[in-house]
Amino acid sequence: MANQDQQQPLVEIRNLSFSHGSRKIFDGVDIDIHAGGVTAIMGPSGTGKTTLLRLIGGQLRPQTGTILVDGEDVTRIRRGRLYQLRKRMGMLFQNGALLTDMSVFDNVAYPLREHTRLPESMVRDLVLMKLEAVGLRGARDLLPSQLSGGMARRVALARAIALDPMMILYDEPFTGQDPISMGVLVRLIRLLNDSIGLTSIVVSHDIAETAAIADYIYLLSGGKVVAQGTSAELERSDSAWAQQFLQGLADGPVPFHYPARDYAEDLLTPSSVAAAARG
Amino acid sequence: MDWLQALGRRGLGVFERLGRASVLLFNIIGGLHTLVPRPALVTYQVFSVGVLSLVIIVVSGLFVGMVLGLQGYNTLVDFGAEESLGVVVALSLVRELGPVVTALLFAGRAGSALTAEIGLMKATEQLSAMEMMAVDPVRRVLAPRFLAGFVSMPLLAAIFSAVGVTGGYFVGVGLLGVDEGAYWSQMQDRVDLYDDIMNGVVKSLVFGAVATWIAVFEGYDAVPTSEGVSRATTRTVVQTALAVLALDFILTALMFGEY
Amino acid sequence: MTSRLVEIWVGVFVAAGLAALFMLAMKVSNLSALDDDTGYEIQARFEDISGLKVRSPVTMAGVRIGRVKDIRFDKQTFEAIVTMRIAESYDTLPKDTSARI
Repeated sequence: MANQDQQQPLVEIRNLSFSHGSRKIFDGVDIDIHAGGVTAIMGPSGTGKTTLLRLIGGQLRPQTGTILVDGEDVTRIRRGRLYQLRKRMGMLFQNGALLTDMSVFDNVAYPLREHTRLPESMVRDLVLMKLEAVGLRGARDLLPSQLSGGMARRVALARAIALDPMMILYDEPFTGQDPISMGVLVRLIRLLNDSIGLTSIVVSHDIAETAAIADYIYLLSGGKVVAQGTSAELERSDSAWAQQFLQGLADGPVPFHYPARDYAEDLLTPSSVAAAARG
Repeated sequence: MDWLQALGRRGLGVFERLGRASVLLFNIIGGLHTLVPRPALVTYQVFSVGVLSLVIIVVSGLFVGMVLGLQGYNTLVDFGAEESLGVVVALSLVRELGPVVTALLFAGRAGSALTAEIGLMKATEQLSAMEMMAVDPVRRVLAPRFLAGFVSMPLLAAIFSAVGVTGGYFVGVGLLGVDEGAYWSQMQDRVDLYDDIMNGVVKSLVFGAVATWIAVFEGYDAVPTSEGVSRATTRTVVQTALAVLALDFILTALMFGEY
Repeated sequence: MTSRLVEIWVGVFVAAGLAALFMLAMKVSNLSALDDDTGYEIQARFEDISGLKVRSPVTMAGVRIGRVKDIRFDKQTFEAIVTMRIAESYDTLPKDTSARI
């Protein structure tokens, strides 16, 4: 059956193209996310990694392509079905996105109270279990404004798993974290994935942390998948692009300079700014 | 030709926003029924929209009423008609100043707060997070705020007018020596329950709906940055003021015009 | 702010708003004197009603006894027909009472 899972991915993205205004963000992207694993989507800032998560979650609609989530195409699905599907997805936003007017406890209880008719005593037990899993049972009465960035993300993680979803989408979970809370989050993502049988999609550009937990990695650049494989495979990859990204080189396929015309020519035509403004 | 094109583009932009705002309004109204099992959501919003506006409404109403008392007396006394002071104060308040000034104060006190709150929720991805939790923010966040504004506005306007009439009484009867009986009885003779009071209430219902609609839409439509939210907040106050004054003219023409 | 306190304040607010509406209706406007269903109607003809409006008060010797219910124009006589509703307690108007504006 494990083999069966390999063939039928939980999320199947085919020929995805998405433009924001005139800017093309994805151009024919194919991605498979296999159930039970941690898949990382990596790439430099501005390659639309967060956009990809929003597309999977059905918050944005692509111009072309299909995104099958557990067999349903979220690009064409009806709203009611989409909401049903979202109940089985959790998403961890970059800064947690906790509801600021309620306590940690109420935040974690929120999806339970919205979508179930459980008695309050059971909600309490569930919330405490989820908070225990992220190590913040003691912080239940705090308000989001009293939490550090790392704690807020852990609370958001507890909220994301409140309904026991099949899949969690992590949007830049490591950005701006100190080494300790980074380590805590890395451990939590892997631990939750394995202990409750989740499927995880991690969007990130923190190479070391992500490579440590990802079963499979996609590298995105310029709207396309430029490399994919396990972290060991990527390290051996002969793609110049992958090597530049993984080693953090300043110049390479991704140029150091933003596209511009010739430097000397630019300096010698002082009216270029005015001309550009008029044009 | 450039300015013509610019004008056309702006015009199209206005219509596009109006279209989006209308769609949002329909969605909000369509989502109101989901509030029935959750009255607490609305109660909390009535608190932040209505109760927290009480102080400014009462204080402003008192002063506006007192000013009306002074000004009205000074004008009326020339005609020896200072007995009619109650009529002047009450009609000005109930027909115009109550609904209009309340709506303007509401835009500054509650509308801007609504826009900022919703805009910040958008900027901090709270609205997105709700969507991903399969919770519709239009129903959970916008609808209760809209309903609360719609309900609170006529109550605030009534409080404003009542306090204002009392303020006019203090100045007119207490300070300037208008006969107390004349103040009230002339008022009762000339102020009509349907023509004046009910029309005032209708006005404030319309203003409540429009002011909250603008506030909620601007917040929901704000560019999710700190600058975007601050611009949206400003737009809420400006647009509400303009909309309320323009609508007031139209409503007044419909209600009190002689056709 | 506890939810109980919020609810109490909202209750106070709604009560204050309704009380204000009630005050406007009872003390500021003519609701207390308005009673359209009782009493009886009389009609009078005028050549000119100038500022008279529906629901204007009808007074006798300066005392209000009713209000104007309807104003119409008579095409034959070019006069205005004013229908007034007079309160029941004033049912002893003499038959030859005349009205003026």
